[in-house]
Amino acid sequence: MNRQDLDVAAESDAALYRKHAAELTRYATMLVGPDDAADVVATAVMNCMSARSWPQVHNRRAYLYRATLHEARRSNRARWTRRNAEERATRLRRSTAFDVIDDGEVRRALQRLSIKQRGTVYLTYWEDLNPRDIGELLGISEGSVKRHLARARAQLREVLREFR
Amino acid sequence: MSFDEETDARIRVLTRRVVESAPLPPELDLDGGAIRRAPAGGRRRAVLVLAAASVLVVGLAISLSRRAEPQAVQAGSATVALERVELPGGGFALQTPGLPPMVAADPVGSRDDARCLTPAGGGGLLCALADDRGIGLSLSTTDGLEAVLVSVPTDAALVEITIDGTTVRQRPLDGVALLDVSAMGLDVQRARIEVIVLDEAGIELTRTALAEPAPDTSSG
Repeated sequence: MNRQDLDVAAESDAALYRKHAAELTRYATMLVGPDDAADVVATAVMNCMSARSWPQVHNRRAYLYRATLHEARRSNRARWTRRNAEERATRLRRSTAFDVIDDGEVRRALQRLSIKQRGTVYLTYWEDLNPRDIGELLGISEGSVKRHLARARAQLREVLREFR
Repeated sequence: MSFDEETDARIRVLTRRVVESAPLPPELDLDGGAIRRAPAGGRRRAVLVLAAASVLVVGLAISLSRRAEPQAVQAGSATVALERVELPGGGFALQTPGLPPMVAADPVGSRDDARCLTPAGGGGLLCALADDRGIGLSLSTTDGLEAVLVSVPTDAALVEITIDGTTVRQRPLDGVALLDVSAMGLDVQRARIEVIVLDEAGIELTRTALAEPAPDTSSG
């Protein structure tokens, strides 16, 4: 790849990032909360664009979404491991990334959902995508999307009874 | 408004509240093929990561200097040497002299034809299995070693191994990842094992679930 090719690739990556940065950050916020969203997006995007397979990726938006979901899961796992160790050592109160959201019901509701369920809720209720489009974006079947959504709704229904 | 419609409306409100709390997107420099985060929030974390990595490298170097004597292992018609290398903070790797740690000799066999390597001096087994997609699993019981060895394509960046619900991530070297399960208290030959191969961006490439327990090789 010569210098001109590199410039073109970099330009297109930069343009691609500018185009999707806001939506990826919103998505990450739904997955891990506002405090860690920027870190998750930055790591996911940098991992994608430095991957050897990146030039061959056709649906780059979907790839970025999947990488963000994956990085959110990794981030949550790391956080739990760290906090469990802290709890054992100091018996601290258990907290989550959503503690920074100043809304008890929202925080409680999101803590009930898995990362994939949060992602599905975001794409359904904010991006207004249907299960087939969500499946294509996340690389999972339409049936899996419907299952995640149904379970998320069931979990949220209970918490949101008092939600006004 | 039906109960479901009311729930949907409330979830929509909840989603909006979360999304409204979203920060500004991170600034990334994507110039000339170089990819890095603009130095706003990530600098302190990068310093911490570098410091931790330095400690790890020093610890690993110290441990490698204390490694045990090579252990001869019969692999088919060839004899290779495997060293047990103690890792900092516990755990171990197997090393073939001259190759990086965690590279073991010929770990991939066939699922139906488990390949067991018997140390020349006796005293244990290193049994290798692989599924039909070339992902190998080796269940090792050599003198108290209890390990799962996973052989994957050499371009795999990460491997996630789940054993009876416990997930551990490994970065394979030359297509081999070795997971120390000695401390997990598992019967690995009876465990349910799932292997996920990921690329550099963490995108899942293949997933192999071994629902059936591995064949009992202790009586053969």
